[in-house]
Amino acid sequence: MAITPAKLPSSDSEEDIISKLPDEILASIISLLSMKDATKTSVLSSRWRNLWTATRRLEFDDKMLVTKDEYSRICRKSKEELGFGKVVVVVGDEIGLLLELDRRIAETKQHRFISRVNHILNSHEGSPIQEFKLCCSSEVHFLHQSHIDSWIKFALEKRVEKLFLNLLGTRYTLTPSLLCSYNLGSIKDLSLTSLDLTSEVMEYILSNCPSLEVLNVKSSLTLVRLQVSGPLLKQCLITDCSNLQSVEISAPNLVKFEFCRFLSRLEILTLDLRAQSIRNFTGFPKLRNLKKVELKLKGCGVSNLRHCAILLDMIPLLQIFIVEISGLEVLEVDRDVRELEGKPHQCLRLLQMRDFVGCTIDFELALCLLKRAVLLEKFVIYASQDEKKRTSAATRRKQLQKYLPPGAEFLML
Amino acid sequence: MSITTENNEKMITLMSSDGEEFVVEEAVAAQSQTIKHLIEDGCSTEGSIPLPNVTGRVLSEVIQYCKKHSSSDDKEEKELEAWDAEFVKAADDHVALTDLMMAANFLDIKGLLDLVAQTLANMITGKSPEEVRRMWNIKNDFTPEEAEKVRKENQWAFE
Repeated sequence: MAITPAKLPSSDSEEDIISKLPDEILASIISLLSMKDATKTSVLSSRWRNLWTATRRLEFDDKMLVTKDEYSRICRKSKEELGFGKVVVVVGDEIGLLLELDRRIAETKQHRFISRVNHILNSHEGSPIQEFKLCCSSEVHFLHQSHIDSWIKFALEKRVEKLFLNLLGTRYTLTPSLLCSYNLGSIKDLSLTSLDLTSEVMEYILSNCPSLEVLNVKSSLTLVRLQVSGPLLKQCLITDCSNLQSVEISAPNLVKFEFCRFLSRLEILTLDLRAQSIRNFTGFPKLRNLKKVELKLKGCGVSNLRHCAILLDMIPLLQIFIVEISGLEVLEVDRDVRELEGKPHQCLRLLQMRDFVGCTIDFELALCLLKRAVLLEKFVIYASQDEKKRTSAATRRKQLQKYLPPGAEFLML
Repeated sequence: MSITTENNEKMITLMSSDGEEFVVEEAVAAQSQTIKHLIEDGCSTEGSIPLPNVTGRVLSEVIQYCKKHSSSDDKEEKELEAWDAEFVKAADDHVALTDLMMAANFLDIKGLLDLVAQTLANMITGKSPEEVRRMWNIKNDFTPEEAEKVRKENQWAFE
């Protein structure tokens, strides 16, 4: 790589050149630092004294904002107030006293944290901000809904792009009424951990954040239904939401979608993957309670959809499976039909295939599903209205007939 | 002044604060929003575009950056990243970086601005204020009382 050396003798290397940069440039450098490093620049010189308050990245962690000195002072003070070390404690009361001490220490610490966050936010100069991170992981009893509300409002007022909330230590309910007075158009990356979320608030967020690219929802026990959509949404991660019963996904640009552990109660899942060229479902989590899956795929340009049958291994209790493959043509992939063996699936009762045209691709999938669904009760094919496709579908129907489990009903509509 | 080369690329001339002239393709120069607007406003027709805030030394580096970034649409992102890293490494003197930063700001070249800002930020990360002062010749002009006060206000950041 040929690059002419840019090292040149500086005119006066003793000169403080950096400090001469305009405020907004220095603020843009400071914004690239962690909040800790940014804050530290305040002591460099009077020029730098308040520059950090224009940082575009704000991170608050309840473990971070109370200093060790303060902590030991808090402990000492609480002990004094409770008469530790002076009064002879009545035996049996020690535990109560120790608990009270813990409570007081936590209380003071939390008040300190709250006032510090408020102080930093009040002195903040810059707008808009890029990132707002709030992490309250220790048990917080004194941090109220109103504090968090006001901090979130601050971030929204400053047109935040990345909003991360982790409120493990407290119970916080995010409501549409808090959000509705703000324009959420700036949010690109949203991460919500341990919040009490409702289907309503998620719906509000997803339909009012047109720029949203990344969504992370973690450990929300109140979330029951979730409809994921968004024109620019690329990545969606849902973890530890154990009461989630139904998820519907339709995002044209979604590249990465992950479900993780503890989605044990999920019963209904709609996956609209028409915008993606799905290659495989390996890595799909085992969803033990899932009973109904509706899968929407786009067939054109794909040579093989048999891998969809792998879902049967991941969803052992699946009863209703609806597959819709759009865009297939009758002569799509003119090759021999390949059969795929697989373990029998005992629970599948109803199988529906929509937009069935009877080409190699959808026929292979139908064959594969049918051979595995040993206790199937009903198989319904929705054929296209197009005459050529209907004829082809009818031919395939006859071929499929012999693979139908005994007693099952087979319809073509 | 506009010249056309054999490739039919429109060329323009940029003039630095110290009178040095650089003839570059318009597409390269237009990576600077400032120059782009000057061209659009017809400022280049009367001769070269004067850039009173940028010296020839810095301008030649800026042009190097713009050339690389205008010709590499189809190139691997990784290769470009490596090139960028070498580019700022070559200017691994905070004075040179500061000059580049000022030029990128004046010329409004976002990519370069971000690149240099990140380089300077990396230089601060994890360092103590004393180290940063020494590295950049920043003079601590606080009185001891003031210094104590500022430090106390932001004590949490020092632990």
